[in-house]
Amino acid sequence: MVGFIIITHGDFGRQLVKAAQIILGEQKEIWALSLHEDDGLDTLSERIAKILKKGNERSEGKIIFVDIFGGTPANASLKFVNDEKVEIISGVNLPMLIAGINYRRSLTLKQLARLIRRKGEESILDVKQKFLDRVSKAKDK
Amino acid sequence: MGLVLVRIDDRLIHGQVVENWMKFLKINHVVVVNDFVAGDRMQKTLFSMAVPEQAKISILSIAQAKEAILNGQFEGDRAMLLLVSPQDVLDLINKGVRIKEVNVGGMHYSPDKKQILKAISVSKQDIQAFQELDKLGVHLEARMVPDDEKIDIMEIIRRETTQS
Repeated sequence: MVGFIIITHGDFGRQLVKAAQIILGEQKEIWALSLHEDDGLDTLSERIAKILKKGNERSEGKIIFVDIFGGTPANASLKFVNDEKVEIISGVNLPMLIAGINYRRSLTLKQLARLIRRKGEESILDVKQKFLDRVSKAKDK
Repeated sequence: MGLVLVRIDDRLIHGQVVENWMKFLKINHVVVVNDFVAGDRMQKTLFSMAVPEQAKISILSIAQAKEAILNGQFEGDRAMLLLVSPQDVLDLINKGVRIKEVNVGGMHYSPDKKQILKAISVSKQDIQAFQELDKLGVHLEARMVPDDEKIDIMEIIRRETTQS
């Protein structure tokens, strides 16, 4: 199973994990790290390093989800860019996390990272337009 | 395979259903059974958008659902029936549909209801309907998501009704 680390500005990531658990039930091997105003880049990297050592031995590696490319959570994660057992994805949202949880037992680290990225890209929709299109399609029938 | 799950959930199709139950039970056909939704185009459109594209969706009135089930329309599918209340389940059974087991996933709070579990609040009418279903031998389990513990809802109702 692939482990997840969610790193965000403030407690967004921690709450995101809670939100996913409302839908999918309690989850193991997910860690959330909150970056607060007084945290530096190095302390955050150290905290990531500690978590990367955690988890069971069968673990297929870990995916680090960060909120924004170029932000401190992303920059701190870049320290692990050469680790083959680590993937880093930015723009974390609920559909990405849910897809990740649903497939992390059945896909390899690389496949899972690709799926999560695709799910994230597909999750942003103009809901109003989509709805109105459907209604007019239903009318035509 | 037919009906894999019959669920009472007053939000009908939502995250827990789509992302969890459907995947867990490999559901390929979601059947909403509700007289109001079946007659309302807005609601129908909304719910039909909520299921993954590869799955089928049917939105039927109770009478239509009875016909569809008795005609074996879901036999080739792994279907999940979603209803909003125990009254509607009872209605479906009284119309001749055989249902042995019902999952109670969500009945949300309103001022005329009493909360008996985290996601389940019941009115007097709900309790009566559950008691009727129990008498008919329908097994009633409260469970929001597959990994949650199964709770015998009649046990809780018995406890609640003997208290008051």
